[in-house]
Amino acid sequence: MKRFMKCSVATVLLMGGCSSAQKTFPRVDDAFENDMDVGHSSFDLEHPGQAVSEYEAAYKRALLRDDVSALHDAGFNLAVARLTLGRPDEALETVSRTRADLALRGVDVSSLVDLSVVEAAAQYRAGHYEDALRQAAAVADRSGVEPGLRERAAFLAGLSADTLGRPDVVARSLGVISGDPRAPVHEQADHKELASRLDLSNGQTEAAWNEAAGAADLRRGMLDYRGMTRALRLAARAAHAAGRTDLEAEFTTRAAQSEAQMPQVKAVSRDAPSDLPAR
Amino acid sequence: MLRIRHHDREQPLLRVRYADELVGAFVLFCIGLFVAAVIEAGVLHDWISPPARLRLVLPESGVAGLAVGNDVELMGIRVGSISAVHLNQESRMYAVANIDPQFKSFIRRDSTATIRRRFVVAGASYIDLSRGKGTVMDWQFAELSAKIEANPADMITSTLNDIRTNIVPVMHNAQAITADLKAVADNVKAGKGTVGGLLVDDALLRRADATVATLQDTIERLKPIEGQVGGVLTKADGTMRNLRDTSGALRKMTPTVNSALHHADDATAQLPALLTQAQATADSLKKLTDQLRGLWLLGGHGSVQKPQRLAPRDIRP
Repeated sequence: MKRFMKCSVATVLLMGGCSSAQKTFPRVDDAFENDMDVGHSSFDLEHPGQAVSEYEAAYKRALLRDDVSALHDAGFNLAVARLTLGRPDEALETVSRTRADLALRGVDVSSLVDLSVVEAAAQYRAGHYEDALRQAAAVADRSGVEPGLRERAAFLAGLSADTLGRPDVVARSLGVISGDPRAPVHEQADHKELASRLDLSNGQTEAAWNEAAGAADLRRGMLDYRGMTRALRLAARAAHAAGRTDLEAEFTTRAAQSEAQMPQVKAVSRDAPSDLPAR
Repeated sequence: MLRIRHHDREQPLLRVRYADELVGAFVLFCIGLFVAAVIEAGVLHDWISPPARLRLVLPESGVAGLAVGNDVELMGIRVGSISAVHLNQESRMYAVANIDPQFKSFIRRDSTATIRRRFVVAGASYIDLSRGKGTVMDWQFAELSAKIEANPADMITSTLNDIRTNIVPVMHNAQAITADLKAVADNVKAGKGTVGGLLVDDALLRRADATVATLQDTIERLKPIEGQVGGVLTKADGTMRNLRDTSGALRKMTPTVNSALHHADDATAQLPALLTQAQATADSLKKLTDQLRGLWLLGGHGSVQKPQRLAPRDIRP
């Protein structure tokens, strides 16, 4: 028993030694941290409206702190949340404001490629495909860009190029994105979607709708329902090109039913490019 | 001394003693009478005191019949006459009037000269001077501007012309309005237009009769409902009575409600502090959770800095 007590005391002391001492300087801005944390939680729980409110509060706190890093983080998150909420114009305005505030504090805004990727996505959503392609291609071709951002930029460039009828750019973007099963799921989904678009432009319609259906499945698993409906409409377009009107109707109805449950997506889809061919 | 002549040869038929003396006296009397008449007539006065000269600049429109010899009057009294009418270097006509000097003090610089006719529209022209009250006239260069009194006949003619100018368009308009009214009346008579249709066609009246009949039926049908409405009103009255009772009960409860509100107010005042404490506690709990998560004994990996920025995959086109 005595031996057990000695061992317990030694264990407690050892655990106490493992605890970290609290930093006293520089102090953490708990209000900013709390706003960002709640914003992340809201965004992850599919509440982009609440996330926008939290990131706006965080951005104001960053202005109060005159903190360049905090401004960059809060501005980026705010633009992404607004884009997810289906407000590309507000996302573009947020990117512009963030760039202006960072430039005011001596930051070289041309190096902020993450903001460029958000801007490209917002321009694609707003229907400005030429601008989206230019912005996304500039980031994808740039050296030293974080792999995740480069992959996203390549995917955006491929989407915009496909809308503009430039399969060569789609093929080049596809080369940047890995289709390896060990790659992250979102990258696999992006690869399948671009491959489907390229197949469709090459006349390989059956492969195209197979790839699109696979992309829709992967997007569903990522909870990316907007991307899923886009893939379903792409599959309907491929089925139409293959002469499979039954499949076309099936994919179209599934996409429409899913979109009907997302009012913000429905409101924006007026400006989004239709993946269905004109009849 | 008078010398008496004696004729010796012939004897006068009628011998008047002192006849020559009488004749001489008579001649002297006549001379004296003549002088007295001359003095009375003022001829000498004119010679002694010459008349004052007043130049009257006449209007450019004309002299209105003014001629040499016409009278000049002041306050209704003849004080002189026109002695000449001339043309000056500026091609303006002026008249020279001789004025009785005794009236000079009444004619001043602010006097006005008006050319009038004796009988308003006819008769000889004359100058009517007004009595001045301003600066005394310099009679070496006395000059006044004369104006013509408006001729009443001209004024009447002008007025008649104006009336004619205004009346003629009115008459034309009245004529046109009358023609329009006649056309409208003809159309109405012919049954054209809405009003004509109303006059000619009885369909509207028949329809109105039918509407009145329908309205009568509706009223008849509403009569039973009126009784039901009475019942409803009775019930509403009872409800209102109950409401009044309830209000009375509420009024009695008001002190209690006030007390409860005071308590709620006190509790609300403490809410911000309570929320801050709750926030601080949640923050501490979160830090504790993070620390526990990082403990290697619980499978953590120490303190890992969580990225503040969202992942690139969250950028969804």
